[in-house]
Amino acid sequence: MLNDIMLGQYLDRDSIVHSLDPRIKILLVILFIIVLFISKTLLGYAVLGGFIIISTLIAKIEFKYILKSLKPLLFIISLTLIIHLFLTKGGEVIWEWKFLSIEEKGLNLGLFMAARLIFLITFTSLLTLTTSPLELTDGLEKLLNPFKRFGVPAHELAMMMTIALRFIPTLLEESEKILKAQKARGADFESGNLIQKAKSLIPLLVPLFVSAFRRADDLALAMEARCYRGGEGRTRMNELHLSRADYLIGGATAIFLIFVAILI
Amino acid sequence: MLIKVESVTHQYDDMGESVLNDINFSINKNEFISLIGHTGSGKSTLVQILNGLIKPISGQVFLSGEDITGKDVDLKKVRQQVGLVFQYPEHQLFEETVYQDVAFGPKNLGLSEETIEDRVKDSLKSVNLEYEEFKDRSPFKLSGGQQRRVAIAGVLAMRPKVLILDEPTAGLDPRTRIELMEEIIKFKEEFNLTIILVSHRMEEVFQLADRILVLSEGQLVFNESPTELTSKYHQLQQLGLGVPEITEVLVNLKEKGYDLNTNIFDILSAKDEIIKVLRS
Repeated sequence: MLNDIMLGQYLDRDSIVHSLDPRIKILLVILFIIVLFISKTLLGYAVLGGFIIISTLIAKIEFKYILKSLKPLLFIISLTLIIHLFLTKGGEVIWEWKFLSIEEKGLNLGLFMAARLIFLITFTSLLTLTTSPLELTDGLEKLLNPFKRFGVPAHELAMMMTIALRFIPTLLEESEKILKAQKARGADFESGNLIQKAKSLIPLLVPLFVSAFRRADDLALAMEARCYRGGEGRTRMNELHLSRADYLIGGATAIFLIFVAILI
Repeated sequence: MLIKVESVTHQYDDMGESVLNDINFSINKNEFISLIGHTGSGKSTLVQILNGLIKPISGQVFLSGEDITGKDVDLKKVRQQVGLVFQYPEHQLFEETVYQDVAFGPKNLGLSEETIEDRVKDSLKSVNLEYEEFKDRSPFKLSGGQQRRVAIAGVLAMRPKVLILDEPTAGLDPRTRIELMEEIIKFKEEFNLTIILVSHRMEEVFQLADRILVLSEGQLVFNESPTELTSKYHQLQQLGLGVPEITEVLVNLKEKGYDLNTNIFDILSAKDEIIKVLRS
């Protein structure tokens, strides 16, 4: 039951998109999202859709992984579509049945909103699919660095993200172990109503929290033992360097996206 | 025959190698069985199959003549009869008091309050914890050794017929380790238990077990008494396992030409044996 959760979505491929600097990728995703919300024409959306498809092809990512990322949000997307279809009024009436009716504006807006959500999710998942978690946190730290003077703890945020990512599999393994141990004592996690089910999770959650805190203590100690004192003056093995290709690809894509936002 | 394992094979994913490969053995009532093998030899998988936590992809396991790998088995009943104490069992403690934690198993079995109280009392007593002193204390405020005892009591309180202990002494200091092993021997008699002990400590295994099962890469390589296994010392070594250190000394002395009894697994008797042979 715990194996269903998709983890470490990063797919290692040899592509231009993969080798692009993570900072450029993060900035492009932000720009893409802005453009997505500015753009209001059908042509604009068609171009953005095409842009996602082409980027996916260049990144050598199979489309099934992109579609997989949509699965958890399918419910929200369809809900948005349905609410807009029936509740947004205006324009010609397209379909009518008793008190329900679909009008032109509702259809348009619904489809646009759905497309917006789908584009948003697929393009951001393209970022996590082509960027390893480590690169991602590195890039984020570097991007947040200028805001340090305003009190943004850039290094600490990045470190927290790295640690959280690192411990997800460990905690999953741990919960599976505890689950089995409690099952061996006759615990029942499957049957009963919602309240009973929630209650039956106590024997799993309490030990899980205890062990998470113990691990956190151990980790803090281990980090201190290796002289960790926060990000101040810390050097890295792999420094992020913007190459000419990064500037070129990043610049060209940015210009393209801004062009889409302004002209179509 | 209490447990009979027939050609059990298991693998975790369809493509992967099998973790267990055609395992066959049986266990009689009141036997003390020890299961040894390298990390990754399939020990953990095997013990989980024995108590119905894992269903093998093929083969059968019979518990008192009943197939527990079948479709409509009462798994709760199986888990009541085959108690499983996992490695570092203190990590499963969760209740506010020791009493409640030990009572968790019997409660799941749907027993009455009085029966539960009796069982908690008996179980705590068998692991040498004073009932009145410990029942209202938080399990998280106990020492490591005491926590482990509470966890073992929690499984004992289900009154299993078979008790599987997966490295019960791992991470304990020498004195607590010896005390715990003594308690295990004691409650084995008290509750008429059949014990399966998974351990890496050859002294424990050879001193206590009636029979030793040796797993290697998913195969059951040996199924013999400690004395029989001592004569296979070299094969054991090839598997990366061995005999207790003191037995190793005796075996080496014998190979050097001394006429010794090598079926000795504790230091004191070994000392006597060596002195006896040297004097003769």
